[in-house]
Amino acid sequence: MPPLLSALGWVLAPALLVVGYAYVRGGSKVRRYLVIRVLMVVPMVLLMGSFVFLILRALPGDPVAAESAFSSTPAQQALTRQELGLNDPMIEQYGRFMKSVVTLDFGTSVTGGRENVAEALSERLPGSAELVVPATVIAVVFGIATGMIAALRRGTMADHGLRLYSVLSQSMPGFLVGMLLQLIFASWLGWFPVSGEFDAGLIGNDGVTPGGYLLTRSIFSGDWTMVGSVLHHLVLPVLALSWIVVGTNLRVARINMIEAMDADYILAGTARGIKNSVLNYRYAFRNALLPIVTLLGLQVALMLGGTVVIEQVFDWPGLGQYLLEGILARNFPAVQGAIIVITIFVILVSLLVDALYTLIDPRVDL
Amino acid sequence: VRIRTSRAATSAALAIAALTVLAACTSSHRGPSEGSSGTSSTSGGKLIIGTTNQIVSLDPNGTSDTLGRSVVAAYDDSLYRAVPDGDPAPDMAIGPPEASPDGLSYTVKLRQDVKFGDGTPLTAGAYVKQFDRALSLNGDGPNTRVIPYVESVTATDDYTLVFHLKGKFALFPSLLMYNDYAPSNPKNFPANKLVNLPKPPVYGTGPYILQSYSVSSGQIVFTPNPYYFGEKAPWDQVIIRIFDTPQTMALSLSNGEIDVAWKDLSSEQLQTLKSHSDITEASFAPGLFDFAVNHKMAPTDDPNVDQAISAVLDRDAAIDKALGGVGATALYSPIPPGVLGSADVFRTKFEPPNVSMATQLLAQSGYSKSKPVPLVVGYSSSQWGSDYGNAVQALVDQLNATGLFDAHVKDNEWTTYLAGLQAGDTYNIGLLDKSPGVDPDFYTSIFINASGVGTFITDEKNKPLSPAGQEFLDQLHVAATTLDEKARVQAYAKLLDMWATTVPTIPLWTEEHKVAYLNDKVQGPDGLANSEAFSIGANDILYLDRIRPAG
Repeated sequence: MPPLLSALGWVLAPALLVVGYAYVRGGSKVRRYLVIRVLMVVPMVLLMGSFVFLILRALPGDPVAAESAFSSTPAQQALTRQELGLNDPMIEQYGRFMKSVVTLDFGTSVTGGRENVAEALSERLPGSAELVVPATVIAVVFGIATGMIAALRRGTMADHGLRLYSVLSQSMPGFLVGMLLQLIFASWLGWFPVSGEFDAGLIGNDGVTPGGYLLTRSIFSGDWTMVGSVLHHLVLPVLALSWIVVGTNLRVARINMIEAMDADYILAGTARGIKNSVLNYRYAFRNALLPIVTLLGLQVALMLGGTVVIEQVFDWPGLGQYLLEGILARNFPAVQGAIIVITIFVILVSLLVDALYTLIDPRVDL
Repeated sequence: VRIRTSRAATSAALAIAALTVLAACTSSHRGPSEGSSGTSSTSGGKLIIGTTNQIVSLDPNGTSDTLGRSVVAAYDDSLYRAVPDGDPAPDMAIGPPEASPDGLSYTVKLRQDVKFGDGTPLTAGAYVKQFDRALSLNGDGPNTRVIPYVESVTATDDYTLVFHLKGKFALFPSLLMYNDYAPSNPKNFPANKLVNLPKPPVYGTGPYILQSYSVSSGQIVFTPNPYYFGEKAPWDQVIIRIFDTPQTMALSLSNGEIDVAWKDLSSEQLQTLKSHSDITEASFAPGLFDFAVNHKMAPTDDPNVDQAISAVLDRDAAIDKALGGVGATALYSPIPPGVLGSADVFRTKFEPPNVSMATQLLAQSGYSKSKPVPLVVGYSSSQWGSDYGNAVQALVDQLNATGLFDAHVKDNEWTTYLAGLQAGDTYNIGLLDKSPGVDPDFYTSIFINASGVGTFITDEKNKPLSPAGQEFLDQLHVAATTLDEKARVQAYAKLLDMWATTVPTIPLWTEEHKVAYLNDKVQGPDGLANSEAFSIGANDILYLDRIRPAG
């Protein structure tokens, strides 16, 4: 199996499982909707790819000059451009690119060591996934928990404090939060490392080699030193990344919880003598949860976008860092490949969320 | 419900706090952590060097950047090695190269005890095969230090090499210390193909073996070469860790996660690092900064305008204002002090700041305070950061303060900046930096030949765009092919006079690159080896084996 498909498999497999389960459980409308959604994946990816292709060609600057303006003559640069196919007609380049999207083989990088882009992406995607997944879990759990507390303590100091926190969370950019966390918890207090994915000194210690799903591989191979090191390095970037969306979740959870608690069926339940705790957690909470699930797909996309900055701040070897480096160097294949992979990732997560929605709320008829 | 909620919240908060403390306890703050070596400094251990350079190529015939050349120098020895403020010292060679009477060939005697890291002995014959590789890779990889100069290489016996040149090149001996003249191991590098990312381990002839590396994780790992002919490598393992930003690298050094922060630190970051008692800074490899003057675009296609700019710029004032913390020195010669042919022609001719001279020059071209010269000054803060941006702005302010210029800075992202510079349609003058070299030709020809990185004295095919362009090409050729040193100095003196008249570039300042390191881990600048490692004036390479443990 190609390494990129293997790396994507960690997202692809659960998404297909959940979609399959939702298809089996769902009614005819749900089934039709899911089939259309799955079929739409291909044109959406191709459309996004075309858009990126055109945008990149419209940017000033070219990769060969960016890399070797001072170390090669214009004649050598022209020869390199020719070898890389950058002088080919646009339609020819576009055809090659479309083929690469279909085969998930994006060729070689046009800057740096001319590395294989698909292999590079298969190494970078896991780095971002291991950052985004825990950040999503924290954002959802912490957002809902604090939102519930704020709703249950409406009008108290705790409510005001949490709402203030929510505003701060939504207004402070992720990179600023990241740098503050670095300054306080790494530089001043020294509790966490400043950057990187693991302690550089662990290399060569007969343990797991760097790259890919490092945390997952370390757990499966029982390399607990590496597991501890990666977890230690994960804390600050995960907190910074989750910060981006935790405030939104808090607000949404609070508002929906308040609406649910004010609903007629809760009043009816109270009149029937059902305990408040049962009403709040069994009925109100479950209904308040649904909008968060809807938001989840968007938030994963938002956090994947956030990795571009957070990975830069924490020097985390992921897709966002690769994408930014690619844009700055006009490394067309790398940028195109990264955007396509992110697009597939987001579409799959979105599909997963839609399928989950039909499972969580049986009333939903898509 | 509230009580229960409160308890739940408290429990959750305590759990998060406990997890945080637990995670924090898995490693200690500062000092030799897992990430930072941890073993006794006197017995080697691990050395972790941070850099912001990215991996481009690790093939001896493909490297043109500082990191690539330093990596190759660690696993592969060249014939000669750069020495600060001196001629290259023999490395795999046993004496200086001997020129033939006609200057068309050079003979180099090789050491007899050289082996690759896998135990394979190296002879002149093997070296010739590897060198033929460099010649055969024409067009694939830089090779700019081989193809234009060398016709062929032969071995007269097992330990004698003869380089046959295409013509007389006075600078040729200085080229022999570059990676292009290192023998690449045929097991790692096939004869007919450039391998930018070779499969590790890479066994060269240098003090270390390139044990492993990861482009995605930004790590390069070296272990000692047991067959190295010289002194045993001082560290059990050297790791180069690549950072995206100097800011993160500086924080990592202050946190003890790396032992050395190599280059690209801003003055502000250096000041902060110096406040730590266990961190020391050292200087090396002065880089040069110039304005490239665009002769294709008005009004800088007029030599009077270019000379007027040169007359106004007060480099010292700009340095005092913006670059005081980074050790910059004003520069008045395209060839820096200490290199053959250097002469302060921009000081002697213009005596800057000299507004009256600028006024006279501009009057000849119809400019005055009522009709100031419009100028677009190019800069890239994504490449050089804010320190240099402030210096460029200070220079532009000086121009505008005369009333003779209406200049403004156009700041573009690096790739866009380069595109504008090379197209010649965006900036009148633009900042450029230049790594140090050992021969005056390195400092001059790049700004004249093949459009001259945006100066447009010649076009991309090296055709002169003016009579002055032809004179420059002729004089460069004379200077590069004159073997007699005195005659060569005279040739460069004439070239620099032409430089101050036509003004392809305006020299601005030199600045020493800085490294910062943990002084309880790495030997200080008093130590000979370390002083050499951090004070490379010749070719910008960091020789890893020269970095010694403290103690």
